[in-house]
Amino acid sequence: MAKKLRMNSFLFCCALLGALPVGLILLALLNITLGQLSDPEFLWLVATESEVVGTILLTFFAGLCAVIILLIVGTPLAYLLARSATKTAKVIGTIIDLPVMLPHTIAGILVYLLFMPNGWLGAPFSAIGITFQDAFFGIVAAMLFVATPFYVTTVQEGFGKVPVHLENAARTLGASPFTVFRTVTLPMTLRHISSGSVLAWGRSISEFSAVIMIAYYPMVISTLIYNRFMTGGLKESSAVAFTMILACLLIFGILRFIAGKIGGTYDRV
Amino acid sequence: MIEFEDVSLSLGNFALKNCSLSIGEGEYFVIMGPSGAGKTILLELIAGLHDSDTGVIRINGSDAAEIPVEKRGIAIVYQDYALFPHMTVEANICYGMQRRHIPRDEQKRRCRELAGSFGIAHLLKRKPLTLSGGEAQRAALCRALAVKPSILLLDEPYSALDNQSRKTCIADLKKLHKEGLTVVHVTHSLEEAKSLAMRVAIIRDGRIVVTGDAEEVFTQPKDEATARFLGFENIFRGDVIGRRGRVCIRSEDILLHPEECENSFPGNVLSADIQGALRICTVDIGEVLTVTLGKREGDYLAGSRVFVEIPDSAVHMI
Repeated sequence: MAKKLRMNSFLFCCALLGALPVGLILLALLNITLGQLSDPEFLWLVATESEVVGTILLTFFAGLCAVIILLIVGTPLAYLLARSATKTAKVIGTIIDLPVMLPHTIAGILVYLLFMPNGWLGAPFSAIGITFQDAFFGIVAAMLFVATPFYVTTVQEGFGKVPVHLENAARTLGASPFTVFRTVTLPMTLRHISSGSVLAWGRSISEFSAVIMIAYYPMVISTLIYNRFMTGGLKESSAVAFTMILACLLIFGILRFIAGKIGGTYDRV
Repeated sequence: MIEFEDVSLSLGNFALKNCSLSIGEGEYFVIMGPSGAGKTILLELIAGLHDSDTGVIRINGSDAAEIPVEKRGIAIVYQDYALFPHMTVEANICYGMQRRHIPRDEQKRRCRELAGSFGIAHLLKRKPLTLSGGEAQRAALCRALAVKPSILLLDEPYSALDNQSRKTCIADLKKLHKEGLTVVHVTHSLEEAKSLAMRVAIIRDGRIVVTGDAEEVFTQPKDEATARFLGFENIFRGDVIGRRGRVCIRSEDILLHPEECENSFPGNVLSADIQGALRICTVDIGEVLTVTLGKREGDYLAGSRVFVEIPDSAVHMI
C-alpha cells in the first residue's frame, strides 16, 4: 500500500504549497510548547489542578456518550441513506448535513430552544427528572447535534462501498436481512465506523458555542479555557490549553493506532 | 419448476416487459442477450431479490412472492463472484451452512469435500482478494453448492476468466448438471451457450424474444436481429425456391473451392484475415459473403478467384 512517490516538478509544487498548512499547525504547536516548557512548574500546577483534570475527563466522557448514541442511531440511518436513492433520502441527507453549514452559535440556539426547560423536548424530559439546561445531558445534546453529520456521512460512504450484490448473495445463501447486515455489511464497514466515531468524538470535544448556550456549567474544556482567559489571562488559559493538547494527542494517537488495525479496505471486491 | 407468467418490472430507466417462460426440473437453461438487456434482473427475480410489478412467478407450483429469498433454496453465482472479502474461503463456503444451523463438523466436512472436488482445498485459509479469477469462481461455486440448492443461478460466471479456466469451469458445470441440478445460466457468449444449454431464451430490451430448444433456437432464428446475435454473418433479402424473405447463412457453413464444381458460384476474394486458427474471407459473388475457414482449408488470398459452395443445410430462411 505504501507506495514510494517519484518526485517530479508537479509533485514538488504540491509539496511546496502543502507545506503551508502543515507548517502553520506545527508552528502553532511549537510556539505553545516552547512557551509552556519555559515555566514547567506553573504548567504542572495547572495541569494537575482537579478542576482542569475533571473538566478534561468530563469533556471526553460527554463526547463518548454522543458517539455511543450515534453508533446506535446513526449507523442504521447511514445504512438507509446509503441504500436508498429516493428523493426523500436525498432530502434527509441534506438535513443531516445542515449542522455543518450552520454557525455554531445558531446550532447552540437551536439546541437550547429545543431542550430548555419549557422547550419541546426539554419540557417532557424535565417531567421525568432529566434536565438539559446547565447539565451534563445538555452538553451531550449539543455535542450530538454538531457531531451527527460527521458520523453519518462517513459511515454512509462506508456502507455505499459494500456492493449490494454481496448482500444479495448472502440472502440467497439463507441469511435474513439482519443477519446479512451483521455478518457481511457491518464487518466490511468497520473501518468507516471507527473513523466516523473518531471524527464525531473529536468534533464533540472541540465544541464550544453550541455547548455554552445550553450548559455553561458544568464546564467543558473549551468553556474552561475561555473562562480562564477572561478571568486569569493568557498565561493560565494557555497552560490549560496545552494540557488538553497533550491529552488529545495521546488519546487520538491511540485511537488512530487501534483504528488502523480494525477492519480492512475492500475497494477491490 | 420455475414459471414466469407475464412478468413485468421497471427499475429506474430499465423495464422488463411481459416476460413469460418456464424452466423444468433438471434443465440447463441459458438466458442470452446483449449487455443491458435485462438478463441479471431476470435472474434476480427468480432468486427473489426483486418483486415483480405485475405477473406471477411460480417456483415448484407455489407463488414465489410468498417465499422469502432466504427460504427459496436458490443459490446465485455472480459475474464477479461476490465472495465476502473479510472472510476466508472456508468461511465463505460454510456461510450458507451456518445459516442453516448445520453442525460445525458437518460444515467442515462438506466444505473440504466440495473444495477437494473443485481443486481448491489448498486455498481454504486464504482471503478471496488473494485468489485468481478461476479460483474465486470455483470458491463462489462451492459456496453456492454447499447449501445444496434446488436451483443454481449463474450470472455471466465466466466473463472474467481466461480461456483455460473457462474450459475447466464449463466442464465442472456439465458435471453438476449431469448430477441432476437445475441450472439457469445468463451469458452473452454464444460459445458458452452452445456447449451447455438444453433450452435457451433470448432477451432483448427487456423482452424475451425467443425461447425454445437450444438446437432449434441456434439453427433457426426467427428474425434478423436474433440471427445476427446468434452469429449468422450472411443475411440477404431474397427468394429461395419461390419463398421470399431473408436468407441467413453462417460463415463457417460456406465452402470455398479453387475449381468449379456442382452448384457453385464464381467469385473474387476481397479480403482474407488470419484470426488465430481461422481464416476469415470476404468473397464477392454479386453479394459479399463472409466465409470462415480453417487455416489449412486452402490458402486463399485477397484477389484470388474462387468457387463458392453453399450446402442446402446451411441456408436458413426467415
